[in-house]
Amino acid sequence: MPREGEGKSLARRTFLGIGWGAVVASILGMLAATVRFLVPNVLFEPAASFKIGKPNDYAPGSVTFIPERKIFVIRALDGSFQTLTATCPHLRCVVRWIAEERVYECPCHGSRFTDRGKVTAGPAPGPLEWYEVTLATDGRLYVNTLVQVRADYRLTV
Amino acid sequence: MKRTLAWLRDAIVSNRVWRSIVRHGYPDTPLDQSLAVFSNFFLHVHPVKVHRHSLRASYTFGLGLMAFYLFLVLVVTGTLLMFYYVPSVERAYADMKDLEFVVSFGIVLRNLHRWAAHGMVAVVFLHMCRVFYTGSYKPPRDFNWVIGVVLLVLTFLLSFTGYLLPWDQLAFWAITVGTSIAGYTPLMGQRLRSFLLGGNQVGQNALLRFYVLHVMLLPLVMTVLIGVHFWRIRKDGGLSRPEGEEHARAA
Repeated sequence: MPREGEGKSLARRTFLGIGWGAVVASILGMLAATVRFLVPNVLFEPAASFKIGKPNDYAPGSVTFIPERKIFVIRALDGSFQTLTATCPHLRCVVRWIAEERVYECPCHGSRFTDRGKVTAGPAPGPLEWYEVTLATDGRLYVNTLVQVRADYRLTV
Repeated sequence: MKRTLAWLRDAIVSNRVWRSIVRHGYPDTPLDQSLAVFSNFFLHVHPVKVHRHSLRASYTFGLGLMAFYLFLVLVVTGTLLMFYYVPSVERAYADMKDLEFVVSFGIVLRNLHRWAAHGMVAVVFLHMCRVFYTGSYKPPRDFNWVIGVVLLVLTFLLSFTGYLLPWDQLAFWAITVGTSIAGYTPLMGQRLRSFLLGGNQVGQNALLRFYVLHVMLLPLVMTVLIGVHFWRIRKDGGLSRPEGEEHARAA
């Protein structure tokens, strides 16, 4: 004997299929939302571009390390500027400038770089990167670490 | 189709890895059905068989389980909120606002946490009423009633400690007043108040103390006592239930 409503309404199997489908979909949606939640929309990190003072703050023929920006400001004897990253391309330790030997050395794994940033020893896979440095309208030096430049890039002031 | 499914089932079930995890057979006999519950960590809390009268939902309204599920919601949403919230007086309020306006789905999690917390207080109270009106606090369940009262107090303490964390005016004055009430405790009032605050005023130490209590100590104690509470239900004769038709007729 056919039960009441059978045939014309939703079959039990279809009904349960929709129900379980909805449960699985909501769980998957919740997991996706949780992963999205964990991706931050705003970062409270130092800016990638910044000013580093006036040209006259740096003597010609000097290499100056700026610890909070992790860069070297290099002023050649002719007065032109270059900025070199202090971040080792191996595993992001901060390299130091050894003036007597005119080399950069990484304290973590011993990578060594020439004064032109080329790797001469150690596990570093490539050279130190050069950043764009320009003169801002207020007469101060402006470094943009988002723009990498060639090793022969120089700012003449 | 049927042969493929049977082959697939054997492929999954008939190997050392599966047999090392699941020791019972396919649950199509009463024994294997019992073992499926009995030998599973998550299911073994529940009895393999329940009394017919325990199935009458209107007797308990499932309020205890509801309170437990709300606690689970609070643990999950609270853990996620901890990824963005820093309990420092400089950052707490801004982090809370960032969760509302900057972080994706942050407002959903914050509101889920808040409403589940309100709901848990309400449901735990209703659960207590149900237990009282059905006389389920009487022996042999009298000790479990005591544990339940402790769980109620823990629910209040979790609400109170969570109250301070947004670090807004409401939070600040609520905890100023609340800890001042603790200051009226006889003999050791002021000592208790400064112990709770970690100082003489609601400041960084108070925020950190309330945070550690809220996310670590109180949830840990709560989890252990919930375990004991559930275990005692089984040991005290199972879920409280109406006495049954024969008794109802006799009365």
